[in-house]
Amino acid sequence: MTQPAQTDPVVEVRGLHKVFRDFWHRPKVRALDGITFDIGPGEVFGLLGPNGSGKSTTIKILLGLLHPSEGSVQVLGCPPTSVSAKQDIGYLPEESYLYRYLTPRETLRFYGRLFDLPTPVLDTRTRELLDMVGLPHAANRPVGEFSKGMSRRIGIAQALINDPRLVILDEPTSGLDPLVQQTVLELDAGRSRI
Amino acid sequence: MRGIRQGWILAGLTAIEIVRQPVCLLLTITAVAACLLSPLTLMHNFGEDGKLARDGGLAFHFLFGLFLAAQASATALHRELQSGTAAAILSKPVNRMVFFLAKCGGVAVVLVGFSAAVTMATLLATRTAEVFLMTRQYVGYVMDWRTGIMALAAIPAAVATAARLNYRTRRSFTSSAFVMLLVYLACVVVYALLMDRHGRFAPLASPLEWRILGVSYLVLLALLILSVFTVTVSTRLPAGPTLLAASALVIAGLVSDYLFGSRLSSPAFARLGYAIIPNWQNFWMADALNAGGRISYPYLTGATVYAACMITALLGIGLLTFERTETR
Repeated sequence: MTQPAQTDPVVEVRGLHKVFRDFWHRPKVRALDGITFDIGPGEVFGLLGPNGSGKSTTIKILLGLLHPSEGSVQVLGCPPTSVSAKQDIGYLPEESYLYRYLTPRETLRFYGRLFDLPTPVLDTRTRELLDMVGLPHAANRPVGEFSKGMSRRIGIAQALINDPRLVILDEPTSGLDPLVQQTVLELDAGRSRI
Repeated sequence: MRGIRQGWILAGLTAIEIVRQPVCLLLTITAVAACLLSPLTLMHNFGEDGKLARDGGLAFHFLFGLFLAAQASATALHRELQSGTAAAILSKPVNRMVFFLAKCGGVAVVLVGFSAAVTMATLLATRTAEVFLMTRQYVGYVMDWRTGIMALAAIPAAVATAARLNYRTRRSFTSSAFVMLLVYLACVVVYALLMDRHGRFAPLASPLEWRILGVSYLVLLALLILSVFTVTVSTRLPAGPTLLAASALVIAGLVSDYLFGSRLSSPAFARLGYAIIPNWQNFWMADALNAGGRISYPYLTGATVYAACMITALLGIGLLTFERTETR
């Protein structure tokens, strides 16, 4: 597979449609109606709109979690379902979907191991990320005991565990106190962000 | 290699998730207690020493195993699809095939653990059960109370140890109790191997009924087929309808011989039905142990191949459906 050039768009979306269907395959909701956009390297790109306007649907299509009804999507030069493209993507879901019984340290190690990170790298990144989100003191408590804001911080840390080129954040500041909101908004420059 | 490593990680996590559910511990403890109580409370032997304890233990294994297989499998995948953890994992470089197979693998690990616990309980129950002994020192019926009581004590001991671990180290109570139950039952099996029925140190003087293992293995195969079917259905249906589908398969498989067996020579639908519905009768061989009988190795091999074909076909269907499942 050829690596995309540094100037190539990181995300290319062309005429994207998404229709959700019911159990009988009848159209139920038209979530996306022909959207087109490009995101370049290092660009910060925001999807704005009222509730139900298809922001999360777009993000999930970019991640290969939902299938488009029409249109084409390329992420880092690959189709969104490609496993290799996901190697360089970090994703923070709208709600932090975490295993309740794992501690923050175990959570980060679990996600890091899915990226096949070597143990020394994983240890370093786990420590750095726990410091970044301000949770080193709670590293050994089960995530299920955390408040929404604390869970959100772990969600942010797991999204960055692989040092991604493209970070996709779904409502990144919801549930966070102003200090951590600022940290999220200043997430290292140089990455492409949605 | 990377897929295999990811599969191990995800299967382990799935197994831990299931074992942490109280229902898993409840079903395992109930099955073990039912096996161990049967020789202590009932004074019938169905015409053969230890037969009631043996058949009862295997029946509890099958019955509670069906509940556990259906419940654990119906929730293992669907719960993650609903809660969003599946989306979080599939947004990482994890192949859907690996994810699906890991879910099935995790459920299988729990079922193996459950089967190990209930099989040990059945072995200990048959050892406890009343038998007629005729030796130089003793003639008459003897019941191995010590083994029976020690085996039963494994249950509160596992619960107490898990509670202590939870208090001191905050480890999950349910998963600790499940693991400790296996450990304590294994200790009682070792005790039973070292002591005779009168409680004297006499290694292997009163051997356990190892031939039960063949029948337990067949029951485990049936549970694995049901679990893969249930995980496959749960790629498309929520937990309730999935459990209904699993129940329908259990009933259809139990009456498969009656429904299709007598019509095998004629209509195609009967042959098709007989081929695609797992026939549970092939995996229920408790009667083969009557009067000192045992399961032959060719039969075990044939049943393994039959189960492997069923599981492979179901995994194939599951992989196809999960590939197109949308993760919201």
